[in-house]
Amino acid sequence: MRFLASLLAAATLSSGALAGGPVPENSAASFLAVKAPKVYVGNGEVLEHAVLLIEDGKIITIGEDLPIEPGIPIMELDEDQVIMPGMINAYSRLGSSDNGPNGTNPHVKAANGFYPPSRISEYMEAGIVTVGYYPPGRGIPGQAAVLRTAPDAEGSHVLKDSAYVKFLLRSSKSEKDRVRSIYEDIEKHKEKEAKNREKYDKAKEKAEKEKDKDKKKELLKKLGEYEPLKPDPKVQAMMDIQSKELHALLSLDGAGTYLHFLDALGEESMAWSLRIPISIESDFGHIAKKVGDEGLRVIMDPVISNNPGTVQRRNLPAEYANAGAKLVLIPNSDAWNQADEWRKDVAMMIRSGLDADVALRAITLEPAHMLGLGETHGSLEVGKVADLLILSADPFEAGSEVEAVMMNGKIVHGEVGL
Amino acid sequence: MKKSMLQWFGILLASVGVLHFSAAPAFSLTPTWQDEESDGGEGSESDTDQDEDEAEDKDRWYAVVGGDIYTGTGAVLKGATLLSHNGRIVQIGYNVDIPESAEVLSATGYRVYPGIVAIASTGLFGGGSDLANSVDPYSQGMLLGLASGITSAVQGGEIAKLKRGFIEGTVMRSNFFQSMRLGTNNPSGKMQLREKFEEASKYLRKYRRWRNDRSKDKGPEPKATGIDMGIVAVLRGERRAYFSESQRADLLDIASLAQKYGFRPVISGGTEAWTVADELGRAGATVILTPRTRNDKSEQLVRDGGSSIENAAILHRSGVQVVVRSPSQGNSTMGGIAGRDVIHIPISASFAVRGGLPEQAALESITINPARIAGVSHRIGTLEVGKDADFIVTDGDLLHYATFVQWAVVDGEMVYDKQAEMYYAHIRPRAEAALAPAIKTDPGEGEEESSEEAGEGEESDEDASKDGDDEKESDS
Repeated sequence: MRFLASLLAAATLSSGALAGGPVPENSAASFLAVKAPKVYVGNGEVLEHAVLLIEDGKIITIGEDLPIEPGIPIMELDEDQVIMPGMINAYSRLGSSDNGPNGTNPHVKAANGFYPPSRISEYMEAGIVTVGYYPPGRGIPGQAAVLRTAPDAEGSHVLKDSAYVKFLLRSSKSEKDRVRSIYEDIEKHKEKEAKNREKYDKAKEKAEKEKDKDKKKELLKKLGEYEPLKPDPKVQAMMDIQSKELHALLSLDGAGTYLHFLDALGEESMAWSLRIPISIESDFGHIAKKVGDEGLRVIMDPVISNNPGTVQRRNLPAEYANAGAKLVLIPNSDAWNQADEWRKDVAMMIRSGLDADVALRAITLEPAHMLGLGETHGSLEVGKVADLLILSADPFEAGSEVEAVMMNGKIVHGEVGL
Repeated sequence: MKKSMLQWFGILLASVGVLHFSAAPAFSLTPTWQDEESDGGEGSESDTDQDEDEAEDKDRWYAVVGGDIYTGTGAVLKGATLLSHNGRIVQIGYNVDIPESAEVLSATGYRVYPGIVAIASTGLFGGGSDLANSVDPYSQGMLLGLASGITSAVQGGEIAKLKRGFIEGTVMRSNFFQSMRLGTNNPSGKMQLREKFEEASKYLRKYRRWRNDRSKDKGPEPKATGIDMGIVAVLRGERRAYFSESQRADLLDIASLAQKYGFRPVISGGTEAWTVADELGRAGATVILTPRTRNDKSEQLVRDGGSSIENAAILHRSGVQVVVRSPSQGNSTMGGIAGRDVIHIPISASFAVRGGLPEQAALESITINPARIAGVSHRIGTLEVGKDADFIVTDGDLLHYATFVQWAVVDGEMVYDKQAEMYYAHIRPRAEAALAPAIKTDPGEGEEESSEEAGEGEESDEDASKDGDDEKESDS
């Protein structure tokens, strides 16, 4: 299938070549072929002697031993070099503080508070191409932005200003009321809206009854068509949460807190993922089955923890993945100089039982889905953006270094001979 | 308005939570006060909620088979069966038909007791005040509490269940005590308290006369300004008056106050209560004590005084209900085998037995008696048909120092298994295979495997033929 696609692509190319003789320079510049001895596609597949054909920053063909049309620039990797998709950190503050006010502000956007840190390129150089940048604060601090670690043509890092709305939950009445208040505020708005509509309908009815034709016309014209009340931005965001247009990310402090969240939510509608911080002692093993059965996406740290009060070691990310949860892993530290450690920490998890394919997905495709980019980013499949890393060895092998980074089909870090 | 209504519904539903499970069986023994509470304007709505809940909630049957059942009422049924349906006990006895879908715990050679009720505790629930919204059902304290046999405990004016892994329906009651300040060596304080009782009593008489007056022009409701409504609640029997006193003279004052105004006092401390046991018995008092308390009597006193290891025994003989609590209410000496904290309540009770308290009375002092003063004895404290299926399975006499709780069940759900937790699993581990039931283990890795293994083990190692039926159920 992929081979066919490549032939088609090649056909379009050759027809162009036939028409205009040698490929014109400006159009040829948008094509690039990458020849790599080994490619981790990110969906579980590994290709040997692979060829990626990139047009305008997007992958249009990928396959093993494909022929490459003459005239297309070829990037040929060394024998031991390996390609994997660019890594995505779905939950980060890029090193800045996450202290902030406590409030219910689902409409606030983290993108508005983003100022590119001077060292943002260091994340990129460590292989992190995309970041979910969450807003600081407690309660419901607002919506995370999707940032690129290298600026686009206009110099902006922001790819998308709304990825998920963060909830920082605790077990208490006031925090549970915060969840309930979302639906109460929507109800209040609907009541207000209904009253407004009633008022309009009454006025219209009165106008319709008017006997004087001119006066009636004038009155009706004055009334015009009914315009629904515009909810204020906060209520609008709440409605988006209710309609599941806006995805929630619940940050938990303990397994029990999740039960309290479910209790507070009751029968109301919401779509959510979980941020499960793994520390030295974590009791999250208790809800692994529950979360796994629901097939939720969970953001965890690559940390082996102890069963509370004991020295029994547990690989909670692996337990969650085995239970059926969609695993997203993030670096242990948000600091730029720790980004390099990320793959090493994940490799540790693999050594203690995490499936290697799951681990690779957990730093590429799953975080892409978490940020709503599953269709365009996170793996090296046809139609997706060409974000890839050129490594000196397999992703989770000791000493595997990032030798070059490609974003949108362009090398943004490192050097690879053409 | 809307919000407060919703909250009120929540409270209503929580308080009649037991109704959710109780409406289906024909033998439902719902206490009348609950029916009263679900009456009124919202009654119909809460009824529909119940029905929905029931439709969702499949029938949950849980049976413990073959153990010696110490019901806590005085009766002991050797090698009997206890069957619960949706968290309530529906049968205790022999030749019990167990539904196929039931989870079965084989307890041959073990004892089954009602769960212990801790009348004072801290740290068993993880959360702070407002347990319904802050309980951490996975906290260490809860695990240790269950390991020591506690299935319900009082914390900060609320009595709640240690229902590991669940948050719904854990709080049973709140505000059942009205704290009283008597004022030791403070005659004016005592006088003031008497005056408050007098005023409250007068107000209540006036109020009742007004309420019972059927005439049209009966006038306005009597004003309650300046009246201590807490004391009114005590006189009405809605709350128990709670005194923290230990000296003979103060205890006598409480007894006379109680007899004059007609309420049954709860006395915490009561070091010298044994010297005035008859008076306290006549006043219908309940004394919460720690049998190991040591206090010398005042040198100025000629008569008896100070502490006595016989305190509980003497009080019991005089008709005073005794509640044993631990010397310290926290669970700070975590992992200890016998200490003075809340997870060693049975050890405390066994000191009362040493002082002459009958063993049955000692069991009552940590189960039904605390349940009574907290106003939840219709649900917990003994194993009887109609009550909640809250029980513990031990490998010996509950009051013996070598005894371990093997399993704890709350509302018909297995919430503790000694062998599945890290704390005491290594100390005298259970003889597995033949005895291990196919129960739900902690959710985590390899759950299916472990239950399968247990099932296989049972099948191959099973020696007795009488449990053939039970095995089928436990495998399913």
